[in-house]
Amino acid sequence: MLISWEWLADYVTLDAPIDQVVDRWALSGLNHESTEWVEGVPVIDLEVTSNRADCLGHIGIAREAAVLYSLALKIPSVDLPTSKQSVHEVLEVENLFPEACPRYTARVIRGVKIGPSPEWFAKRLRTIGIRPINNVVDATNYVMMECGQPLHAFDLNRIASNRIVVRPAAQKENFKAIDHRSYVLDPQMVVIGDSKSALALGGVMGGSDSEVSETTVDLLIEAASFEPMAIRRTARRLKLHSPSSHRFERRIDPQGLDFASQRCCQWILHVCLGSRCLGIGVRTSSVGSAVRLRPNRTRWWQFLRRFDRT
Amino acid sequence: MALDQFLTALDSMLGEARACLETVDSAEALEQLRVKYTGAKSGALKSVQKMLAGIEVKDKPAAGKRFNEVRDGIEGALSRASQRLGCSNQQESAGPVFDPTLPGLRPRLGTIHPITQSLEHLKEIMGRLGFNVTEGPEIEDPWHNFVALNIPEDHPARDPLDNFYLATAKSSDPAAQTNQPARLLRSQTSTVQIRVMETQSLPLRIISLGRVYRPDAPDATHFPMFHQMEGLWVDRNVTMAQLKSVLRLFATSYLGGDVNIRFRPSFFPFTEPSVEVDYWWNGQWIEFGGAGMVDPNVFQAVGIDPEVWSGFAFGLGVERLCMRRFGITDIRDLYRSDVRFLRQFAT
Repeated sequence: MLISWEWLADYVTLDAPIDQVVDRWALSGLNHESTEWVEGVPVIDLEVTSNRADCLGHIGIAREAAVLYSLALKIPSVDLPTSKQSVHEVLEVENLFPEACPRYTARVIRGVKIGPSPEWFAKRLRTIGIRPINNVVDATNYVMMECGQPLHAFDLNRIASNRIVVRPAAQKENFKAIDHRSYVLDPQMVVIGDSKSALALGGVMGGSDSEVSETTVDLLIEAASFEPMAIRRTARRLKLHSPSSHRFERRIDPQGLDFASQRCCQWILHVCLGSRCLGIGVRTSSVGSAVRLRPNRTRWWQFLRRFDRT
Repeated sequence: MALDQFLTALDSMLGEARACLETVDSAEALEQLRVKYTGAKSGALKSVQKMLAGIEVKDKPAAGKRFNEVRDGIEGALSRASQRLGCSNQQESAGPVFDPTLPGLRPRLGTIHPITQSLEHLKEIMGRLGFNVTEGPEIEDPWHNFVALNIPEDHPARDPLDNFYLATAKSSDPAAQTNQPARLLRSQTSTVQIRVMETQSLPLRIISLGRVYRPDAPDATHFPMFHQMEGLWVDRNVTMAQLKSVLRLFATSYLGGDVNIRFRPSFFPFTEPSVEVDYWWNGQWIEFGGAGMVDPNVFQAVGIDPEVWSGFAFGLGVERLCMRRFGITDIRDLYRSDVRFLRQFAT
């Protein structure tokens, strides 16, 4: 996981020198691989173990630092203007594969102007090795690198019948991804489709047919959660590994999904001059249950204390 | 000389020799008897043979025949006594005569392989800490190598590219094809933990040392076959503090002197929490191995109640310890079987 030191400062104000912070991270479980300077910014490569999907974004790493140094964590607030029009008049979402995609949300933005991202924004992506494409795609990548939640932007007008269907792929279904290569799918893989064909390989990669281009005016922003096992199997079988599949394989916090969606849409409205935003959520399972922690039990095996079972 | 006299002398000598040889109880005494009776210069047989010259010509055939019988009788008794005492009968040995004045051929003695030395050393240290050595098979099934260790199906660690699966699907035995999942060369010695917990009663304190196999391309620090030491302690109140003490005692014993170790949080499927262990040596932290508290899922897989029992496990790479100890810089040198190289590490 590449971290821009300058970007990190958005979320936590660290006075300590980089080397010291890097040591503290290492001793809290984020191994330091290397530190390099890219375009004048220190970029730190941290090894994130597969149980720490929460650290696959700058906010997660900042949270670690904030805890280690007892500092405040500054999470940006979102205030998304809502439209009077109901999203159901524009789009219908149907989830036929909740075992692999327990939650699917979509937001619609109309009247965007596609162009390059502001330079500071594009530079942040470049320093951590992500090639800027256009202001919409950059926004989805930026938010992924911020909160760890992968997002996908579709060209709304390329979605046939204004209908999104989350479904298992058909046996030997063909899919052309944004890497312009064709893949043959099987029914264990999740497809995000319209009434006619597959638009994206869920959780792994978007398709070239519904890709955001210079002529795109209306957008659909997808934020969903996918089951790690399904994504792992798909990525392995197709040998198609993406930053998105990497994160879903490690289980992204489903509670952060809506924040990421709003954060992304807010930025697009701000920078792409989009006019209206509509939201739709399809929830097929609870947003995750509470984790039970027994402090007494923790002390039992951590320290020299006998477990009191009462 | 009269024939009767001669024959009587022969018979009494044979009787006396037999009696002595049947009761002789040491190689030295046997050798004295051999000289006494069959010595080339002044042995009893030699002197009796001289008396044969004084026998009358007509009696000579009978006397000679009897002499030969007595000589054979004594020699037979000698060789029986020699066999009984377990020493070789030099008179009957074949081949060239041993010449002690020739320069000798020095036998080529082997030396103990540095990895074997390290394994013995590790066993000895952990034995002193009360850990019993256990062993398990190198060909394993997915249950012991993965499932029971909380590594689910489709986990990257089970990828065929990361393991040596055996081609049992091509087996001619139909039962093997239908019922048995693909076997593999074990990729970690943690498999032994499962086997021990399945069969032995608690509490447990064991180590297992042995070969593991992973399809890594060989380079200075990787080899497709290497050795691990795995430790497991399961009891009613095992804590991380004990884990740290055991590993620190181990590091101190292995490296000599008082050695500090540290834990860094990490992740392994079979322990929770998991740590990486480093030791402080020559002014820097050096990676030691992985460890942690046995994951409740692992206990449940082998039918142990995690609410009652707790335990820790650790795993170390033997090659790394061995190479550091002997100053070896390339792991491949250990397995080239070049005796000129290996001889340097003789004890």
